[in-house]
Amino acid sequence: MTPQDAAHLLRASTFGFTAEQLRFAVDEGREKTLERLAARPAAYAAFEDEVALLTNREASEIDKQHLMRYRAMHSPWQRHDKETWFGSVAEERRVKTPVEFALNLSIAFGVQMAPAELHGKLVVLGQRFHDPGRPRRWLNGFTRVARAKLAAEIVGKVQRFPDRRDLMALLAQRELPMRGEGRELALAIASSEEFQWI
Amino acid sequence: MDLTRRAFLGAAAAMALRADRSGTILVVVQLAGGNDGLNTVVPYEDDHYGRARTTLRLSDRQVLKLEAGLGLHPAMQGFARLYGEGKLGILQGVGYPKMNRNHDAGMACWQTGRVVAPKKGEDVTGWLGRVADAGPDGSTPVAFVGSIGAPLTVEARDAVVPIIRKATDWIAAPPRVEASYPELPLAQSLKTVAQLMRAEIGVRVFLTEQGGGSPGEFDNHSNQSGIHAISLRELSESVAAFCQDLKRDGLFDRVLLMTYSEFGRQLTENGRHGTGHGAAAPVFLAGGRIKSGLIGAHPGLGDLEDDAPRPHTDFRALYATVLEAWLGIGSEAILGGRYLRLPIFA
Repeated sequence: MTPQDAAHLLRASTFGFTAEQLRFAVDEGREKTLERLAARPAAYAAFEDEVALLTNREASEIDKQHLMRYRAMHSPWQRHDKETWFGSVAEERRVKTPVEFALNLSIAFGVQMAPAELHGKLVVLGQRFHDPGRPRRWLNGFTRVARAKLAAEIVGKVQRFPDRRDLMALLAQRELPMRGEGRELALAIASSEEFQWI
Repeated sequence: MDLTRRAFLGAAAAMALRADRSGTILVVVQLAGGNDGLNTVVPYEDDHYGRARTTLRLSDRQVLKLEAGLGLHPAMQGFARLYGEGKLGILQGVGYPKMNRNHDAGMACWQTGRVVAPKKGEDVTGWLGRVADAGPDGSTPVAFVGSIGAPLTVEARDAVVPIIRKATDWIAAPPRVEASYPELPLAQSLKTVAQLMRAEIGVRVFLTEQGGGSPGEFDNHSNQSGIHAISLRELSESVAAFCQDLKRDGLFDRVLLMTYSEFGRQLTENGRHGTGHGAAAPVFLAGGRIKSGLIGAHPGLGDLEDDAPRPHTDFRALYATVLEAWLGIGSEAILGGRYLRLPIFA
């Protein structure tokens, strides 16, 4: 399995992935990766218990946003959580939802954004963090600009970037004629047409 | 596959730009709190008004006289100038039967274009949100400009309506503003609208607001006099500055600005020098091609509905007229019914 194939598989099945997770999938091969993503991990029961402990029926909106972000970024069974949380919203159209867009970048670079801050930016893009809503026409002239600005904020928080080859595999679905590396390359890809698609 | 996507998006963007360069533009200003129509367009010669407004009454010496015994609140110098220039229309007695006098529910009626407020948790869209949904994929026919959360008016089912705080939220280098705008929130929002219009980004309808979220600054149950004057001055001076700006390069003829508030106020002043929630109220229309002057009769004050003027003009007829005659959009699907066109254009 090529890095591009592995990235495509992970992009469709998880909220996001790191360069290490991408390398692991490449080494593991397509079949084993598929099996691993589909199987309920042993650690998932403990994770569910942990989330249940954090869940309060009277939780505020901010608490719910915290929890959903925590779940998305730390669940050991992302494929299941993604499908049950907003699978239908994500799959109906081929465009990344705002949540997927933000989480793809955040997880790839290990960036933590304050949930309230992130929530406000997602609302502007047409989606609430804890309530993915319905499929929408996510892309227009305004949301493209807003996505590029959000990407700049996330990328701006990255301390250390993967090398050019890993970064390309991490974010792009195919070879892109883009120059530079590090922050410049990451921002160029994240703002590109290419990165908007699942 | 990628080429197809790009070609599709490019075509949608081109369609929006073409529409913008030749198209008319609607600017809707939401006034939150229930504006007192009776102290905005003042029936200063009406005895009912004189008797009921014991301390809030505005006399013939105070108002900015229009015609037919009506005058504008003295704080509305900007509107008076527009009126004198033939660029301001005042549609009188607007509302709907048995108007909902709860702020949230009443505002939701105006925002959704329905006369029954949505139930809690009901999945509803706003009338301008439905305009956005009717646009092609990738287009942005509607945008909200303001500093509060986007009102229900622009809630869409499918489209994502831009929420703009300042022009740079969308445009890296907004057109320079040559005109002078007062340092008032509504004026600054309208300045942003003017910048976005000149940037030719394809938006046909802008929603902005004065008064914030519920209940809003126009809700004057006590000591109304001073506060209402401040609010009306902001409205009047902001809109006048916007119109003046647009006249510089001919944009004014492409623009129709209209206001709405969830309801007017009761006729009788309460014991705290304020007014209670009412019903019908005037809607202001400004633009280069509107019918100037008073449109429709002032709602009589001798036959009230729970101490408030009865509406004689359905707000959905105004919406239908604006959608069809100004924006060239079929109104039936958006409003869920057919309404007679109102004579609001020259």
